[in-house]
Amino acid sequence: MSNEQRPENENEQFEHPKGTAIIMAIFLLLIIILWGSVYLIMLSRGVTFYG
Amino acid sequence: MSANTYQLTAKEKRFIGWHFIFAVAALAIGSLFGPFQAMEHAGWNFYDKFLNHFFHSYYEGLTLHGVLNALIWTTFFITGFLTFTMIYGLKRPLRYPKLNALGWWMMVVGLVTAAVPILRNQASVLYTFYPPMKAHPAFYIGVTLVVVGSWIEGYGFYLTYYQWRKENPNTRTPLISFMALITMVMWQIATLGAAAELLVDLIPWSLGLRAGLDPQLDRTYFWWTGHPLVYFWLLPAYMSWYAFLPRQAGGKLFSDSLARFSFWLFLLLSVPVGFHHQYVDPGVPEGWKMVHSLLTYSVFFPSMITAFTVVASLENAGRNRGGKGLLGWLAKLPWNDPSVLAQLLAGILFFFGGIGGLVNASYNINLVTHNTAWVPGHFHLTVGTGVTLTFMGILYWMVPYLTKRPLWCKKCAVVQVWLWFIGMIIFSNAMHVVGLLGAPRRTPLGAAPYIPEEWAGHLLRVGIGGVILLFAVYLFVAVMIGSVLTKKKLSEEPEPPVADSLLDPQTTPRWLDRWVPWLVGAAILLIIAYGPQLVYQISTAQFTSPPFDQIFGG
Amino acid sequence: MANQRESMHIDPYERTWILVSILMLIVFFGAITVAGLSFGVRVPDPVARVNPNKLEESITFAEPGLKEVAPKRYEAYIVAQTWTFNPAEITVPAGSIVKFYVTSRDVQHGFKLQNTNVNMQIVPGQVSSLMVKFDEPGEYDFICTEYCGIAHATMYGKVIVTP
Repeated sequence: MSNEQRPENENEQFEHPKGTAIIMAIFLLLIIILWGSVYLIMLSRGVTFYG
Repeated sequence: MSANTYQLTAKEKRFIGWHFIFAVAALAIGSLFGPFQAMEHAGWNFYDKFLNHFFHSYYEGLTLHGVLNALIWTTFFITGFLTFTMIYGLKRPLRYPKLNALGWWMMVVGLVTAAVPILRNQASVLYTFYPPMKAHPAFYIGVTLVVVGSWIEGYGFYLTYYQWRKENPNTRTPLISFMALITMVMWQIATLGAAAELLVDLIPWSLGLRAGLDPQLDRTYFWWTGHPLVYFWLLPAYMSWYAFLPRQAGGKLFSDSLARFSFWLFLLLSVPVGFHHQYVDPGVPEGWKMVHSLLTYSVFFPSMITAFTVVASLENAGRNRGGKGLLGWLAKLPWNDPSVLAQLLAGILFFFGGIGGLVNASYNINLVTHNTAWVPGHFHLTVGTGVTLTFMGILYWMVPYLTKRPLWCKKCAVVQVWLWFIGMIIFSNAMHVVGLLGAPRRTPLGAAPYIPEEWAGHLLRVGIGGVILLFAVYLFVAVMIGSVLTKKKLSEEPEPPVADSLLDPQTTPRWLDRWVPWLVGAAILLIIAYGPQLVYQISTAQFTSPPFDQIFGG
Repeated sequence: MANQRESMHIDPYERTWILVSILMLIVFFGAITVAGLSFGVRVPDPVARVNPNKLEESITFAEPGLKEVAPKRYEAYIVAQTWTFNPAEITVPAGSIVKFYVTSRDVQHGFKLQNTNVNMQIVPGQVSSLMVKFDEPGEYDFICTEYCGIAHATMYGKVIVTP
C-alpha cells in the first residue's frame, strides 16, 4: 500500500482515502479469517470421494 | 447545492407513495412470522397454542414470511423507488403514466391472487415453491402477475428514458436514473427463468393440463432467477449508498465512473451464476458447478468496488465535517440522523453478509452450509439488514418528502434502527453457528428428534434475537404510520438528498453510458454459462413427477 | 461539451484494493480446487436417472439397503419419501467406506450425514451419490434438509458404526 504522498496531476481536491484503506484492510483480514475457518471445517469433515 | 430541484406532481407522489404503503404493509404482516419461527426454535412455540386459530402450520407462517418479506416488501418498495429515481433523475414525467399504472395494478391483483391460497394453507410451498410440491394454481398465477406487473413498470421506464435520450443526445445519463434502468434490465433478464418455470411448467401442471414435471429442470429454471433476484434487492440499496448517502452524510460520491462500472458488472455477472445454489444437486455436472463458482467469484468484485467507493465517500463526508486523523472522520458522521444511521449499520452487517456469501459461493465449502441454518443466518444479514434496513433508511427521508410532514418521533426511529442492528447480530450469529453444527433450515427444530444438547444455547439466542427484531419492526411501522398521520406540516418541501460526484460525471468515459455492448456481453455470458446445460437438461428431461399437495397438514 | 479528458479517475488506493482483492479471490479459488481435485472433497455429480413412480422396478432401489461390495467397502441404497428414509438405519464396522446412493419417491428431500461432508439434495428422478469413510465408532444421524411437508422435521435416520 503506497502511503507516501504522491503528486497528483489532476485537480485533486481530495487527498487519498487513507481511512478507507485501513477499513478495507480490516475487512480483508476478516474475510480471510472467517472464510478460512469455514474452509478448515470443510477439510475436517472428510473426503467424499475414494478412488 | 445540486441544481436538481425538479418538482414531482401530487399525482406522481401518490403513485410512488402507494408502492411504499403496500411495501410497508407487507413487511408489517410478514415480519410477524419471522419472530414466531425464531421463538419456535427457542422452544416457545406459539404455532400450536396461539396462532393455530388463524394459521394452520409453521410452514404457512414460513411461506407468508418468505413471500411477503422477500418478494412483496422488496418488489413493491423497489418499483416505487425506481419510479422516483427515474422521474427525479431525468427531471421529466413518465412517458406513459398509464402504462406504469397498469403494471402497478397487475402487481396488486397478483398479490391478492397469491395471498388467498397462502392464507388457506393451500400454498405452503415457501417462496421457492419447489415442485413436485404443488400449491393452488392461484398462487403461481399471482406470483406471475406480480413479476409481469413489475416488467410493465420497467417498460414504462425504458420508454421514458428513450424519449429523454432523444432530447439529450450527448449528456451522460443522470446516475440515479442510470442505476434504476440497469436494475430493471437486470431484473427482466433474471426473471426469464422463473417465468419459464411458472408459465411452461407450474401453472399448466397445477391446473392438471400436464401430468408430470422434471424437478431438476425446474430447479435450474428457478435458480437462473434465484440469484439475480438478490441483486434486484441489493442494487437499489447500492443506489442509495452510492447516490444519496454521501450527500446525507455531508460529502460527495467518491467515483462516479466506478459506480457506473460496478452496475454494468452486475448486469453482466448476476445471472450466469445460478448453479451455486445447486452445488449439491444430483442433476448438474461438477464441471458446470465449478464454472458457476468462478463466475460467482467474479461477481464478488463489483461489490468490493462498492465497498471501497462508498466508504471513501463517507470519509470525504466525515472530513468535510471536520474529521481529523486516519479514522477521526467516522465519529463526525451524522449518526443521529435515522436515515444515515440505518444505512451505516446496514452496511456494517452487510460486510459480514458478503463474507458469508463468499463462503456459500465456494463450491465444495457449500457441502458444509447447504440447506443449514447458516443460509438464513446469511441472508438475514444481506436482504434482511443490508437491504431492508437501508430501505427503512430511505423511507425516513422519502416519507417526509412525499407527505411534506416531519418524521414522527425521530428518536423512536433511531431506537428502532439500533434494536434491528442488535437483534439481528444475536439472531444471525446464532443461526450461523447452529447451522455449522448441522441444524437444518426451514425446519421447526422444536419438533425434530435429532437435536443434540450443544445446539440448545444457540437456539435460545435465535429466539431472543427474534423477539428484539419483533419490537424493532413494529417500532418502524409505528414511525411510518405516525409520519403519515401527523398533523404537523413542513414549511417547505424537503429536497431529496441526491449526491454530487467528486468529479464531473461528464468526464466519465462514454463507453460507460452505451447500452448495446454490455447487453451483448451479458447475452454471450448467459449462453456460455447456461446454454449447454439448459439444452442438455431440457432434451433429457423426464416429466415423471406428479403433483403432491396432500402433504401440508390440516 | 467540455473537452476534458475522459478517464476512469481510479484513485491509486482503490486500484491497490482492487488488485489485492483479486489476488485473494484467486488464492481462495485455488484452495477450493485443491480441496476438490487432490484431497477429494467432491460435490455430487450426475449418477443415474430413475422413474420415481416405479422404484420397485429399478434394479438398485427395488430393495433399498446396504450391500458389501468388498471388505469394509459398502454401497448404501436409500429411498427418501414423505417422511421416512428407507432404510432408516444401517450398521457398518469402523474403518469402512460407504458410498451412498439416494433417490426420492415423491417430493424433494435432503440427505445430510451430520459431521461429514455428505450433504446432498435429493431430487425425484435423479440419484444423488457421495462417499464417506467412518473412522470413529459411534452414531451418525442423517437428516432431511429440504422442506418436504408437514412432518419434514421428523424425517431422519442413522448410521451405527461398530468398533
